[in-house]
Amino acid sequence: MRATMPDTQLTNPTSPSRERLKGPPDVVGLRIVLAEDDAMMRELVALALRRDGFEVIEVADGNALAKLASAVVADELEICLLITDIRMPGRSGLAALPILARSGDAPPVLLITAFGDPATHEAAARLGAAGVIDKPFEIDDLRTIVWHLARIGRKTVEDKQTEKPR
Amino acid sequence: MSADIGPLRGRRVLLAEDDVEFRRLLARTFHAHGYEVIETGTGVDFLEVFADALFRNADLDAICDLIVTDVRMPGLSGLTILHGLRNAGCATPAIVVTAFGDDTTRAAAHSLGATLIDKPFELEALCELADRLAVS
Repeated sequence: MRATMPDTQLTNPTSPSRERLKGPPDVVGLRIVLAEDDAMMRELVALALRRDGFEVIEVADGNALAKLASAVVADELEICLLITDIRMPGRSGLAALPILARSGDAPPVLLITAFGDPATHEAAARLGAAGVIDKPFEIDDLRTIVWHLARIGRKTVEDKQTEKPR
Repeated sequence: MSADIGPLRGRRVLLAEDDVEFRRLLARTFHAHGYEVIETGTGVDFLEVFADALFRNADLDAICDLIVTDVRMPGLSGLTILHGLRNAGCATPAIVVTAFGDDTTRAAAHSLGATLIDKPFELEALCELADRLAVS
């Protein structure tokens, strides 16, 4: 796996043990969107994240993802993290980034790619992605990155709720 | 049913079928035939049985000796999961049961090294096929 996370540091590095890493209790109940057109991959990742206590909304194509991203910008949906494959039917997962950029307090975006060349990583960073992870990846590596980014996203959601007029 | 289970003793079959009544019937039949049965009712439950082994790159063939799966199930189809398992290196013998045994489905099952059986079928024929595959 090759992963880039601009300005971030993993707080819980993957253990060499083959035992399942225990999920942190502070992520339980956080909502994540997972966009991946490979049904098997999507379900596996969703299973792993649901076992950690996340609420996972699954979408299978770029158009459905764009609708969800628009709902996030319109404050109709609160999520702590958006995880998306880059190459999907309809629109690329990258298309969600400019939509979210319309909001000043968008959730972090973690991109999954099978084409993790340096240019893709650079483009992702330029468009504001919080991280990129290349397939194939170890599920525990993905989980630790997700925990970290979801905590950042939770802070954004909490700040937004504080700012809302009563 | 045959009482002499011989080499099948301790064999484990994963059964993925969303029709509860039909699944229970198949499970009872396999039990009577000496199999331990892992029952799953959706594609996601089927996948979850293999999830830990997939996550850890562990031996996928150690989960069970035979997979018997329906094609159409809530969540993920049996063929989709079988395709993913084969890509991940799983060589466990598989039987695909379907009421929609068209040529495309048959070809897909064949390409995954699985044997397709059309519903309705004789339980004894399924068990005979299972016995052949599970000891191979």
